[in-house]
Amino acid sequence: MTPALGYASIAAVTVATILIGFFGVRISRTTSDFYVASRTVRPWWNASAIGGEYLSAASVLGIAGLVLLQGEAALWFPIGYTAGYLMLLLFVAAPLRRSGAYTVPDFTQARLESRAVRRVTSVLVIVIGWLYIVPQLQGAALTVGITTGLPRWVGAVAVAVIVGVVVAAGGMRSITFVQAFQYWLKLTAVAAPVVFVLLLQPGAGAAVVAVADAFPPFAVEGPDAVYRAVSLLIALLLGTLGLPHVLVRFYTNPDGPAARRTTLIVLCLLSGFYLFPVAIGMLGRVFLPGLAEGDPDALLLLLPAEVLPSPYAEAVTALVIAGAFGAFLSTSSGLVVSLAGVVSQELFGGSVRGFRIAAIGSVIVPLVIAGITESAGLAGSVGLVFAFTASTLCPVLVLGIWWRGLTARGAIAGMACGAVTCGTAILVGPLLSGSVPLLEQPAAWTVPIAALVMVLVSRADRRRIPRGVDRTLALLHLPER
Amino acid sequence: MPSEERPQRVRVTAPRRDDGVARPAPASGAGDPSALYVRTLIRSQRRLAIVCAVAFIVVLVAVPLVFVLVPSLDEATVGGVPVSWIVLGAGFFPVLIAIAALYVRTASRNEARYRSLADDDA
Repeated sequence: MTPALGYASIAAVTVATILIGFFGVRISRTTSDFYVASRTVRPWWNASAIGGEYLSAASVLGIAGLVLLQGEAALWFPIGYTAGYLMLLLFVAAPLRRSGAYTVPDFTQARLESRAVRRVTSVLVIVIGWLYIVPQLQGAALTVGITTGLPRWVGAVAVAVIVGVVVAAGGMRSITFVQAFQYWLKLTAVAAPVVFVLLLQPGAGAAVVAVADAFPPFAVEGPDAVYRAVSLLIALLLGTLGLPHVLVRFYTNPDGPAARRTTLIVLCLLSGFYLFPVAIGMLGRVFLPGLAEGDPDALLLLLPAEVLPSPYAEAVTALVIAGAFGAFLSTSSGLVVSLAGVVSQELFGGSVRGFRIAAIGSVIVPLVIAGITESAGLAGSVGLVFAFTASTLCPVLVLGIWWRGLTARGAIAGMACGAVTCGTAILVGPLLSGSVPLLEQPAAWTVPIAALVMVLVSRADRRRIPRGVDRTLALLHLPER
Repeated sequence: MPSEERPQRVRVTAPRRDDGVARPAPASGAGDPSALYVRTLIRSQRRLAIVCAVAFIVVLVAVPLVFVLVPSLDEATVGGVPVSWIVLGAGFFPVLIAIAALYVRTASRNEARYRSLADDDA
């Protein structure tokens, strides 16, 4: 691959991102502008922005790589990533918007009338954000390393710097435009290789038939495989509705019904998107099966050069690099916005200056973590963050919105329990020799434990049900008119 | 007639935020009809959400089960790719969108029903 191509497309997507971000700065002035775009973003813009923010390195590179590596078992990933939005729509979208809170900690504090709950939630949001930025930076390192030949850390540092600067300069308003642009860029990037292969390689169909063992029929390999699939789906379905960078987007809808419409559009956008990484993974099984032993996450970057004739191969590769780099930029900046919002409210009283300082701080920690850890498959490591979110923020949101009996102590106990069990599984799992499915995919048992602890402790603590609970629940569920 | 209704509506809804906070405040009284409406609304929205979630999970479990129970289904191929790959790779998305669209419609209808009850009462 020619390095010039890599440099050119990375530079182009960076300049576009900064320009759109800069254009947004002119509009954003007040604190409210900075945090949630003054809640005036239209559903289509907002939905594109959610799509752009959500489709991370794991979706753009990771799923194709996983289909190449694991075959049919990997197809549960895109299903789970999309179905998470159905759960978000059903259980969280409209009530969360109506709560009127800026961040998840704001919500838990308002609902449970406790500063302690707020602090615990803030810590969790920050940990989740950091964990989620790490694979984005590792994806950037992989992309820059493969496409330009530079040392891998350059990519991670570049993304961290760009994101820090854009977020600190413009806040969410500019990020909304950037994110919406990124969705369409990413869609083009994953669709182009598939479309061009189908147009320019009429023989591709014949090649698929010829490589018969590329697509083994549906098979279940023992109870471990079933457990893994079920646990993964639980993590993806429930993890989405606690992701801080996704939730912060819902505050930008004008009202509850708009939040629902936005989520419905997001579902359509994601459904359209995920067809392509799957198709690329399948093409990879036919044309590049050897890559499974090397860097399967690089499949999207290498496939166009492998199967397309000369001028098209370079053009599509450039587009793909831009899309992949866009993915790291957009997801990381979304996460940094939500992290910076939480940190600045906790430590700096929610001022604009505090937001800027917090934004810079929010990219430095993950950069250090990414520097000292090895990437172990992008889709897999993002899946673990989903498991952690599903075990901590998901139960407190769902019970807080739908169950009158939740108390501050119950919420804290449940979140702590989920964080400890899931966190231990994630940390200890890789250290053990041999594979232990219970630790590799912990969501199936850590989510029920967290929710159960939350319910039982709240029950025991019944006298401390927040005084304003009826008023708060009415605020969450009553239509705005 | 509509010309008389409209200004009234605007006057009631203008302080939206205060309205949401203030009205359910006396809800502690068990006999308060507006508190009853609120609880009914929350209950019907919760039931709707659970029904939709269960419907999706049933589909999610049923599809792999069918392929396990009837392996001969997967002998059929589309362009060299077994049917199960196509179904898992693309087939769930329309189901998701359909359930979501149904939910959005029904949830809004529940809210409209609450609104007409509350308005009748006022």
